[in-house]
Amino acid sequence: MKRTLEVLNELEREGVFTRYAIGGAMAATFYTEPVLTFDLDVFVLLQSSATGLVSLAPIYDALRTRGYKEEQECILIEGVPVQFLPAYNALIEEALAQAREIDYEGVPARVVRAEHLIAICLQTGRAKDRARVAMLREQAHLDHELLADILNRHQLEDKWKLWTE
Amino acid sequence: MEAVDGVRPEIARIFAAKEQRRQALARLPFPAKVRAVMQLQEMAATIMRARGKMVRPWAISGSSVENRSAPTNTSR
Repeated sequence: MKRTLEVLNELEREGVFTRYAIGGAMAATFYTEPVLTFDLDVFVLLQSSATGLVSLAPIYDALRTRGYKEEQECILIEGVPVQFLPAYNALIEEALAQAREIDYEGVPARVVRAEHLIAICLQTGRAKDRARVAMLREQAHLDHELLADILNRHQLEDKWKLWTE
Repeated sequence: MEAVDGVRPEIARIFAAKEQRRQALARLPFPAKVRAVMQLQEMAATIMRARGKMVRPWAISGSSVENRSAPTNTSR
């Protein structure tokens, strides 16, 4: 995964996207026991086009130029299927902006904070999100003040109560 | 250890040990967790392929799965 992260850093440096952070199951795994996943979810902040539309096409073009191939909704970067997800709402934008800087075997990278992962799970609302919230509550060292603030600002307190009480 | 909610003490000890193991796994460095995820992928892929679901464990350079032949389809 080290080489995959190096490629993501190159794309960010070249301005293909403004900022990236690992999300999804791999981000959760940063804070919890390892969980099975077959892809690497990467949230990206993209520059809007002149029409205001956000497109992943520049990322795919840049990666195709480097010889990486698409596989269904992912693109295979150095053996890892990466799924790019544009920041689609204010919560994801905030999660990207405040993502945690990490060092992966000498390569800098970013991972969405555990508190934002919980909020994203609450917002998404699938059964596996509920399981992920439970695991993060059990195993991650959460900043409860930060979590309460995020849940309040993104109107997720009721969902949190429903899932945790 | 005392029995809790009808669980016999020896079973309660097993549950406690499992919980400790999960907490220990959660404290591993991230690269070690990524390696563990890749091992899980290999284990799960065998079962999933037997059920007709094609998945592709990560083929990271330098890993034990580097030279594995790739399946024709993936599913997540």
